[in-house]
Amino acid sequence: MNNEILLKIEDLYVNFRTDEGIAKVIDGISLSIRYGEVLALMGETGCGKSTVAKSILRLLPKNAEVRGKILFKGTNLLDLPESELRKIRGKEIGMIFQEPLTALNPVFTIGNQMSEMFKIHKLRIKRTIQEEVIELLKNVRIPDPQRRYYSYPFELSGGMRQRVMIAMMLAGRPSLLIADEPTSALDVTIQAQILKLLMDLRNKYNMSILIITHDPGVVAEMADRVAIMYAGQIAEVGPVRDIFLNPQHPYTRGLLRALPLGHKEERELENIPGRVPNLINPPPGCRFHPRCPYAMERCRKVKPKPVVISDEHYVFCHLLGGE
Amino acid sequence: MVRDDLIIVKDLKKYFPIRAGLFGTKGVFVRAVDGVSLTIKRGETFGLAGESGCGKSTFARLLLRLIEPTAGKVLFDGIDLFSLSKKELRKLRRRMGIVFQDPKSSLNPRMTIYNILKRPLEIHGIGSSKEERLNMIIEILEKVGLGEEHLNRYPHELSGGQQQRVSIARAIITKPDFVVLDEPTSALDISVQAQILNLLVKLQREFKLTYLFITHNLMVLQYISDRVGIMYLGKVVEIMNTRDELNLGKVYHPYTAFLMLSIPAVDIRERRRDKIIVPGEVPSSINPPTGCRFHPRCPFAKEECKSKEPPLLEIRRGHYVACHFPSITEEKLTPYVEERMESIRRLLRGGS
Amino acid sequence: MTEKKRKAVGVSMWKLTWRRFRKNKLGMAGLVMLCIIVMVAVLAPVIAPYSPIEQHLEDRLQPPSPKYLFGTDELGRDIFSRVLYGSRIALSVGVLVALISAAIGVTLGLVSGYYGGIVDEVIMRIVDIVWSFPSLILALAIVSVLGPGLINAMIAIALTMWASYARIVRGETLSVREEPYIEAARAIGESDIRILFSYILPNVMSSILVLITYNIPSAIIIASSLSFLGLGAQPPTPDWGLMLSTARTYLTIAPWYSIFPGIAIMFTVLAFNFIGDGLRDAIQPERVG
Repeated sequence: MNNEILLKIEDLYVNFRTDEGIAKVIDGISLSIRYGEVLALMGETGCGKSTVAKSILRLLPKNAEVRGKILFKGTNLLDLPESELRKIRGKEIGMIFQEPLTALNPVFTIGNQMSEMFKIHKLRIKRTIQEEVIELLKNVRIPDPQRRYYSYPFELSGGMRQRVMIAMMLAGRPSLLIADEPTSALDVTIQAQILKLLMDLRNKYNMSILIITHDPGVVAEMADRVAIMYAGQIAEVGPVRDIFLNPQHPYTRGLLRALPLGHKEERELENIPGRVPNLINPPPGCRFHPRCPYAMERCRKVKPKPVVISDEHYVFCHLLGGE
Repeated sequence: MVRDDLIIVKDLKKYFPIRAGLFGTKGVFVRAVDGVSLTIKRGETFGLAGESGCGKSTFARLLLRLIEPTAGKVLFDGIDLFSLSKKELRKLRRRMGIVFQDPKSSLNPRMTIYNILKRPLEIHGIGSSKEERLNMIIEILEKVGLGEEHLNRYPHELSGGQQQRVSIARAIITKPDFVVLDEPTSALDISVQAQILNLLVKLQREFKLTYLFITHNLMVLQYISDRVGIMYLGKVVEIMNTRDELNLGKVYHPYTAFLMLSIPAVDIRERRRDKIIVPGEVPSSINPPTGCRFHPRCPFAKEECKSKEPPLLEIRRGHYVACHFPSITEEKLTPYVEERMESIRRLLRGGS
Repeated sequence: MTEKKRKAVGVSMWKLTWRRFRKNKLGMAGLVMLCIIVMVAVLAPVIAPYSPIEQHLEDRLQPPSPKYLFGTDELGRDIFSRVLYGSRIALSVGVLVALISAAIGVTLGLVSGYYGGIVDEVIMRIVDIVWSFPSLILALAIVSVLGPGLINAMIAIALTMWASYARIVRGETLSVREEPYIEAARAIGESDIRILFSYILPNVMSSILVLITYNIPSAIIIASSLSFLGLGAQPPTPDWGLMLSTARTYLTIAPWYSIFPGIAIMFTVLAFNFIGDGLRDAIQPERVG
């Protein structure tokens, strides 16, 4: 892993126009991913983590307004014409989703769809396309790849379909893989298999991975760094070890203490009172303040700036200082 | 006399016929539940875990006789559930409740919260006047952390957590003995999950409820249950006590061990690149493997496992395992599970 | 003390549907058009300058004039008054037929979808048979058995239309039946009848309503066609279809005679179709969301 930045998100704002008003879904976030790094974006439903992922590949619906910069190898993806972007999608940047069945075309065989990837992106090949595809299927440890080449998506289990999606994304040798809840629909033993596969592939191809998840377990298993999101803002970002062992933001702390570790006879789980705010009228300042036990006057007015805790560990919280 | 065992299940089976081709069934069945025997003690939380397709939800529905069994017996407080007439069964429903996974779709979208909670009282003739019932409804709403202001709301106006609270209120408003919780927190965010788990524990203590808690989330399982059963392909492979066995990692079936090891290591210091992972996927329950159903995925499988089905035997007081060679697991996997569980306890103590 | 709180009223699905419907311009236009038709029907005796069957033999086939706004017919009857009164017949035929066929179709569809098995098979095969004939032809056949007349025509149309309700309600019932709240209802001890009518019916109601708004204009058209063919309303009833039928003979010398009843039919049919479209669009988003 070198220290160069592969992807840099600067001051990203995303608004959605809805019938009820304008939803301010992403409220000015900045993030970067290095070459070969696994960054996790973690948060609960509606925190905007998937929106961030989709804005990188500009896959947001038409009612979205995006401001800010997303620099991929120095190019701002938000300025790129659609035709240029298409060359990056699926080749330079791959994306896998929670439910692979919806991402695969039900009427074509696996081999057929995977071959398309080579044709669309005019990828260089050493052998026939079929051999390349079977090689990829082997790489994601699909048993009996020769036979699977001729299978249709519905003939595969959820875990196998996710492997196919991953294999498909590998065709272009992407430098970044975006994985949006890749294991949330899978059983625990299959989840463990897929996570291990992703880590092995990262090492083999030296890809960067941006993993979007609500599951602290997935973060702990996979990520080098994690950004905790709450209601469109970043609460805390840093190396996974620092965040899990030394969480600083009241939200991160609450979240980790809400995990059902231990036994009910020994401890009650911690509650974060209240509920996620409506993003059409989000609370001003720090969006967590209405639920925060330590909220101060300043939290209600000023959006917190990052406070350095250690090396790469930043917290967006007024409690921890700032001017 | 109060019986110690509230629910006794004897060799329960449920086969679903598969319609194959034009001529209907041809003796092809999904063996969702295939010979399960266990008991649930009064006042405990029995946790039932397993991966999708293991039959745990079918099992739950059989215990409430929401579906009819293929074979077997369920005694509910000594009453043979499957011999009851339709009328007797409806009467008995007062003593049992169920909460489903998806909070939104388990409430009728066209009914107000008041109407949803009023029905169980009306059906079972609880409360003599409208006033009395209203008071009971408000009381139960407050018990689950909601209030009068929610009475005339519709389900879609509530958050997922609030909807689940209404479902819980509906299940317990008749003061039942037994409540089935079918993945009640799987659709919820972590912070909401914590609120619901706390609520369930509180209600159990207050109303002396007996729970069957079904989940695929092993973290939730080891937190909430007093005893656990692990299911694999329609069979129970291990039953044990939570606090002094599961939570200490003392498991003896290889499948249980693999499940526990697939709990992601929340304690980051435990992260190992050479993780122990169970190979393969769950086979179809239409033609389950012969012998021990886990043998095709089991790294320790021997000839005997392929031909002979292991019975569920008590290897320690209250600890049952269905495996021919529990000592292999004990030697090869249990130490890792123990280590994993110890690391969680360490994390909780906040120590180094 | 908390009297105020207790009165906090929730927003039902119907209210949400109405809110979305209100934003639909065409749908609202349809609603306004329908209001006009209903008012005309109710106030016909007040607005109409003449009785619809009153003959002015000296003023036969007069073109529109201040005295006869829409002109007169071959017996000197005021077409304006006849068109006004005709709305009463059109509306009652449309609404009654739709309600009768809905009552038959919904009941059969609910039973068919909920119980399944042999009951379902039998009902659906009958539906297939009814569906395999064009409505007008089937209605014609039934009327020719029952004999001509407005009531018989209505019965005939209802007998051709119930099948679409049965099919749609059955399909919806099949999917609603699988919802966890139905299982939850059984778990608290609800009876089958109660589940059918208090749980499943309200949840398939929206589709039924859309179908009713689409079926009313079809019923009006078929009824008019039957009258046109002499099998529906009998003279001197001021029925739009019947008027068209006689107007045909005078098409070249008295075009107004056919134009005004024609416009009236079109206006009514459009009103219901606009409402139907608006309703369908207003109901669908809640399925997705």
